[in-house]
Amino acid sequence: MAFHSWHYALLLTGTLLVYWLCAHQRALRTWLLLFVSLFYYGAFEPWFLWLIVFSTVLDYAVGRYIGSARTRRAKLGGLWCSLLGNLLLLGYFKYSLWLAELCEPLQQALGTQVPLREYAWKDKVPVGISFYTFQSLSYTIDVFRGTLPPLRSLRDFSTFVAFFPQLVAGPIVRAKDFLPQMELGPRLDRAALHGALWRIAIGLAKKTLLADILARYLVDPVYAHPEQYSPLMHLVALYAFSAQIYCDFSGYSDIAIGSARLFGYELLENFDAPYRALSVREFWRRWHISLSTWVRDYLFFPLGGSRGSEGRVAFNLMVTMVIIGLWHGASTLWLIYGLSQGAALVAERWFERLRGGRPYATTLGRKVLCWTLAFHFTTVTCSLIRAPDMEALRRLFSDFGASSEMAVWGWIALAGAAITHYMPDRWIEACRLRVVALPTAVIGLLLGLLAGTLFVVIEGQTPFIYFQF
Amino acid sequence: MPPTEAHADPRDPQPRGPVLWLLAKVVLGLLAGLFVFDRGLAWFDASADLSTGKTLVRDPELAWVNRPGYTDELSTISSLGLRSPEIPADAPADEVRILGVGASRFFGAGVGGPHMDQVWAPYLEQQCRQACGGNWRVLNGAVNGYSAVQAARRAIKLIPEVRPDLIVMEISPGSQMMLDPSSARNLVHVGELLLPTDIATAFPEPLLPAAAMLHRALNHSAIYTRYRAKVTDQGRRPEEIDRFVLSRAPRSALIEEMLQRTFDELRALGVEARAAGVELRAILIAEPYMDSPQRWRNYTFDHGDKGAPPVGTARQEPLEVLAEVLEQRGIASYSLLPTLTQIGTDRPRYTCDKRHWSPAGHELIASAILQHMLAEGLPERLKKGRATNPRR
Repeated sequence: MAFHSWHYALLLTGTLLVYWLCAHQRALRTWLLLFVSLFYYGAFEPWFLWLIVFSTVLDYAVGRYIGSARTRRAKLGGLWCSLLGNLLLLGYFKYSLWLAELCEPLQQALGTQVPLREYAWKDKVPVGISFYTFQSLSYTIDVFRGTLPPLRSLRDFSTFVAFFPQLVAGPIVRAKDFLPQMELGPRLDRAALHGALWRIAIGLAKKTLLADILARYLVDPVYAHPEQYSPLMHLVALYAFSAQIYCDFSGYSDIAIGSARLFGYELLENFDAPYRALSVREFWRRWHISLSTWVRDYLFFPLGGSRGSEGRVAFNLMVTMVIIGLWHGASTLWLIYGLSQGAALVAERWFERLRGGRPYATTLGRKVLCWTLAFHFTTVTCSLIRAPDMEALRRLFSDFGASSEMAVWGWIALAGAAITHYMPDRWIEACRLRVVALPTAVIGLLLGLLAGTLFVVIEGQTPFIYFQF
Repeated sequence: MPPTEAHADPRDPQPRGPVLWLLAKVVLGLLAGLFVFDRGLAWFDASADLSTGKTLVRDPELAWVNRPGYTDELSTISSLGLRSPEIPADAPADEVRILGVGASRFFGAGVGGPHMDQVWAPYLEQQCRQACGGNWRVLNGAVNGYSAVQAARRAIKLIPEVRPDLIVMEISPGSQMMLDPSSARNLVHVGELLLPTDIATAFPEPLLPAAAMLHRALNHSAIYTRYRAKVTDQGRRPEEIDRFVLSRAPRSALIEEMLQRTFDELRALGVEARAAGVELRAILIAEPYMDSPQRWRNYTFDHGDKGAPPVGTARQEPLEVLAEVLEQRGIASYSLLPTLTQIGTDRPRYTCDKRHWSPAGHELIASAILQHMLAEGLPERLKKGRATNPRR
């Protein structure tokens, strides 16, 4: 059930009305959110529910155990239980086939006959499994660290894990951010409602008017038949895919954040104009913020972070970025993606060290140079995400034709994505303030006009890219 | 003293009245916005259709039909969507009416296509008058691009409006027999209503009548009809369907299933026609690539592995198999293979493009149909039947 489908619109509207009818009863409204969230997730594939129930019950039980354990050793045992349970679940359903394929040459060399491929999971990867396992893990780690008390209510914990606006593609919510909000009486005044609807409308527009059109008219044709298009069009397709994946994922996050606000919940911001970054490090502070901060807090810092020798820090960075890469998908291309990001971060760090820690981008010319380098690095490495395999990647960078013809809609969408991304924040804010000041019924009317436009524009249901992760 | 907002306990529930009122305003505004957009789109679609002179309009059940009242230099479409003059109110009560249904060849399409007075229907009408005397009216109800299923359903819909004595249905053994993703070819009956299969399968059985009524109501919406058109018309047909020709060769499960749906529709037409006391004849038209042994051989050679019959299949076999299938369903047929073979010998004269007939070709087709009718004494039976039961 994609966010830009009428199914989701009906589900959200119906749930909202019932939710606010019973909002004064905490148990009732929480049960409602839990029921709707599980229904939403089960609508993808009913059997997926078993996985989220497993992960939820495991971490709830582990949290209770850690809370009651008296020794650090026992607490650590509980944490390992949660880590192993979640990572094995994730590992089997997402990585087993890739690992089995990687092991095949080794097996041949050793002459072993274990049919790893047969044991691997070959069906589709359960939607959102990477998101909710990380989200659930953050809870047990926080309980272990003592920064969060264990939760008594399984219902509340299940609602935190399965909360449907962000269940399948984030933002990855921390228990310590979400659970306290459940205790508060939900509030939705006129300004909050208008702000939430603005956010949803922006997200829908990004997804359907920019991302999907970029994919259809600029990206997909070049990736499908690179040999027909000129080198310039290959470059345009690279830019277009960067814009597409940003509009697709940030559009999803906008809808998730807006939907959650309608229920009185505030989710983490996930993007901050990432292509304005002047370095790769800054890019990762602006891109998929909930994942990068999760990995920073639960992996990079425990590994030692930026402390220690340069070699150790480089190792920490490489491990962190490889995990981020592999978190997205089980393939060699994702591994290379993670390695390339890690290498860039290490290189930037060494460059800074060479300059004695003095910032480089201090003049306009240097800023332009830094932006150009960072933008093109992230854009070129993005092609690793889009190409289905190494052969497709090779063709993208070596098979050229002569055609430069593309539908005008693709160019319009690319220009639209660039303008909205680089537009000064104050302009966007001014626009937002004007819209949210309108009467509520007029905002509804504008939403209706947008919904009608989307019905006409949408060609089938293009799934969100991040649903596959 | 009531607590102020600043001092309110954050755990206190917010009064639900104002929130629900706000949400109601959003929903009402949204519905109004959708309505405004829908009407604007309907106006745009209507003006775009008229300005581009499209001869077809969308139809919720048949996917598309001829636009009633459409006029250009070659055609005037009647109020019933027929490519024939209107039936006058004072038409003789004993006139024998023949209704033809089918696709573009019966419609009379083609490059610089023949005028509506120079296609099989007016020729047949004229020939019937000359050969049999009496009052005859032959109506051309064919629609471009129709499959056999669409033609059969259109014939059923036209029976009460036209009250024909005979229905002649153009049918060929190629891909016209196949269902395709358009809605008209994927409808199921829910009581009196028709519902696209994809919608029917999405609802549990008890809700189907409600879904059918909702679908019918929503067909007045421009957004919905556009959305349905996208859902149903998207996608390319597999090659094995596009190249398919009926024969005795084994068929894939997909093809078999689609054929059965077509045969079921033809059987339904037969039942409806019998119930209305209307004679029904299938006019078996060979595909253009069957009009000469050489072309047929080339076709099977080129496409034998893509749905066409195997090399060596007799040229008349597709029409023979089709005639047998129809006979099993109580539908008599006229094979026009000899006539089409004659057309194949002089294509510049009898055709206006690769697929469609010139006026001379249409005249030949009309003549062949009449010969078949005469051979079984059908004109006399029709005349006698109408004379004893004149229209009121």
